[in-house]
Amino acid sequence: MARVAAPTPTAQDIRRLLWQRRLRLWWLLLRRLLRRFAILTGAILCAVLLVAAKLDIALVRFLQARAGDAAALVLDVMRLPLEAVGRVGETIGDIVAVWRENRRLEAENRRLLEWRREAIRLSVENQALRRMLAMPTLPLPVRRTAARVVADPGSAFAHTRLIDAGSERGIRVGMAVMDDRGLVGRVVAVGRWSARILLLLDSTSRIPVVVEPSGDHALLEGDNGPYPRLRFLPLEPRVSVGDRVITSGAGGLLPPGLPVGEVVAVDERGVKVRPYADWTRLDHVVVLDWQPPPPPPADAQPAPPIGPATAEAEP
Amino acid sequence: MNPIGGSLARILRRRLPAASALLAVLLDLMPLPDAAPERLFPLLTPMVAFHWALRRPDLFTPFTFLLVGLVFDAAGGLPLGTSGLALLAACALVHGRERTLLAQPPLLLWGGFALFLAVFEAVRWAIASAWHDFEPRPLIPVLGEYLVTVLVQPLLVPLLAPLERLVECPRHATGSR
Repeated sequence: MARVAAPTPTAQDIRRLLWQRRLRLWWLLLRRLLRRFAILTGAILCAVLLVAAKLDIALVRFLQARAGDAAALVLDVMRLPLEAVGRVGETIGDIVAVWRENRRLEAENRRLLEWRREAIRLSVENQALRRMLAMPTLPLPVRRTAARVVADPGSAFAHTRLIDAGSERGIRVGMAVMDDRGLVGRVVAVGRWSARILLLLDSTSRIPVVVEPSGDHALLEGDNGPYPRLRFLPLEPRVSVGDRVITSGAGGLLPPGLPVGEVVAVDERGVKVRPYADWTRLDHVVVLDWQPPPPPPADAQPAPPIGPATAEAEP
Repeated sequence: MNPIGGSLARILRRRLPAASALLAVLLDLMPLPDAAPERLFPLLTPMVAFHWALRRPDLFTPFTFLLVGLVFDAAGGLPLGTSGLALLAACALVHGRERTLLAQPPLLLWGGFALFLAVFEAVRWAIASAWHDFEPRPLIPVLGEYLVTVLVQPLLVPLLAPLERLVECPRHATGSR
């Protein structure tokens, strides 16, 4: 049988073979080094990522938003069995509580009817006063987007929540977020289908507020505890326990007049506020899309004085 | 079982430690009913990571620690790299000492976890403080989270034991895995 002679390798073939060998050798060496110094390599990678995140590089922001989207999808499915268990527990609790609640509601209803009469009287008076001051009755139309809370980082470092509404539903960074009682926080990051809310309690949260009835302006600052504090109050603040705290609208980020909380302690360490938001039942929230009113034109006339001067000007 | 099914099942079983750690990340992120932000919950992720790092270091390598940490940060809204670095620092404590640690009585092993978690929380706290212009973050919530996690950890070990048996790969006739 005739044997077929193997083709003689050319110099080019030998060079290619040599390069392949070299590359393989380098790859093996790199793999061995990576395995040997895995912890160090990982730590360096994390440090680089942290620096990139601190520099607010768009790619890191994009990755985090996409990860939020993915987590929202998975957690939305995962929470179904948990919700079912929670519903059973709630039903039992409701049955136990219903009789007591009924009696309390009857008493409250009587009290509320009194308040209603008083509220109608005050509303009529308020509208009359607003007409006198030529003020709008509401800041501006606010578009509300309802969303469900799907994730809670559960960390001592960050008090945020992930909601299942993102840029596709018109959510933008900076929007105010409320539950049925009061302000919860504001949107700090937006993905396509999800958004992250920074709660009032987070140590990085700063909300411009005004204390009622004194009208003192301040900044509500979270400290990762249950009671955020009022900072930058006037030198002689007129704040007492039970005062209501609402958003001031300063800076144009949040709408003015949103209920925030109630002052619960005033001492030498500062003023503590208990937020109205019910953190224990933060299942659904409303995101408020609010546009600050445009600034008045430069040549606008100042408002006419109020009071006797106006009355005298009229014929 | 046919050869393809068998090898697929083996691959899946070998991914179980990493998968259980990722599940722990998701459970850590789940909003629990009646969970106020200031209330303390145990962190499942370091518990699961510690468990597998000791029992299956061949399947739960430093790169798995890194992956789990990055997923935790990305999904939890923390600066990317915070938990990854913290987990790797804690991993450095146990890496290469698995047999020695496993030979200890349960109480000492629990102490080992307390140390592991202390490193994890300390690194996270340091990074969080450095992130906020080197202003120290409140320590009380961190300590609370630490204590709750350490106290709950012994309860998790029996829950992971069945998984451990599932991960066990059948030995070959030669005795090697």
